[in-house]
Amino acid sequence: MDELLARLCEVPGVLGAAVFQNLKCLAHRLTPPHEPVLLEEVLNQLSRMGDALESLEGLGGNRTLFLRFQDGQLIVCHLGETCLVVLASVKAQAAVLSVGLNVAQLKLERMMMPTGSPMSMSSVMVATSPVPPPASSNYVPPMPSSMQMPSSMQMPSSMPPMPSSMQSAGISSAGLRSEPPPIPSLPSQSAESSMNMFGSSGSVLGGDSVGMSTIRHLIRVFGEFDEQDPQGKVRQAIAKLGGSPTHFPKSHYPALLQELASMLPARLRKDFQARVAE
Amino acid sequence: MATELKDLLRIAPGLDRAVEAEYDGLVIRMQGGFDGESAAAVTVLAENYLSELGDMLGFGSVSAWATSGESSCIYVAHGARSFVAVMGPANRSPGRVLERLASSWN
Repeated sequence: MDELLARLCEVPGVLGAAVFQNLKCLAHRLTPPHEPVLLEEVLNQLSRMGDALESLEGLGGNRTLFLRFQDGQLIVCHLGETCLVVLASVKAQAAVLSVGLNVAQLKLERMMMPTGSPMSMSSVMVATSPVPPPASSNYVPPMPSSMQMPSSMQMPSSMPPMPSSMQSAGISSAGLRSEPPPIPSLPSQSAESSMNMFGSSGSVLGGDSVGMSTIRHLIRVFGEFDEQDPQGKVRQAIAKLGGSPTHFPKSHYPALLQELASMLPARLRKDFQARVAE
Repeated sequence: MATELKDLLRIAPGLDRAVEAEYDGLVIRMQGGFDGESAAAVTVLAENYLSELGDMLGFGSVSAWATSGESSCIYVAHGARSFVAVMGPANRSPGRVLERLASSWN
């Protein structure tokens, strides 16, 4: 979503953009004095105006709103409960703005598309959140970007033996486990293991990308449903969506889930998506 | 000389209703078979909400606006003493038509 907003802000004349859901800001690229809290008030005001307009035939339902002021423009595009808000200078050309907005709306719609499970956009964001879940889960905590592997850091001897098929695929035992994995502790999550997993350090992921830990989680869960080369299949799905394991936009994550689910038998898809969301 | 309403209906395909009214809702003229007085009244009501927004955003007063609903779209352009509201089919990107209306009106 951050990438979507960044692209939109590259359109000449656009001053800022934000995505709201139920009048709460989900993401934004705004600069003072246009803070999200100010736009929440603006949206509140516009919703009251919308009630007035609904008395005119055909103007009910979700709407797109263009407001031209003396010194700026405000555009609000409603997509269900989500809305895209764009602030632009008065000099922004409507034609260019319209193209940028249409692209952004399409991307946002795609992000909101159901993936076959009741997972909403907000729950996807929770799933990709870097906040670690309780220690009892199988979650692999993300590695801080500044973390370097101390020379003394070795794989624990308690690690289960790695299947030969995975060894040949270059997967380290810390990266993927086929059968009930021991709960990993941070020290066992070495930088080397991340590098072995995808050929580069897990620390390169930025704020717009799905975290390496999330990708690992995805591979592990996918492996529970398809034991044959789950990492290869996840890689394949990521590549198909134009990403790489070290840079996969968060905005494409729902599409990735859908793509992976489509690789599984229909009866397993729902369970897979539910497991991923856990 | 003020722009003819029928000329405003030609700025984009599908536009079929137009009304010019004063800011208190008094209809000056209209084009197309519809209840222009109600449209003008609702537009004036909506304007009340919009007048505060420009100050909130630091953008000044509203000069034109458009909103597209499930099947219709309304475009409103402000003049010195009156405004014009033009209606047509729903439009996902009403900005271009609004720009044309704003430049054509007065």
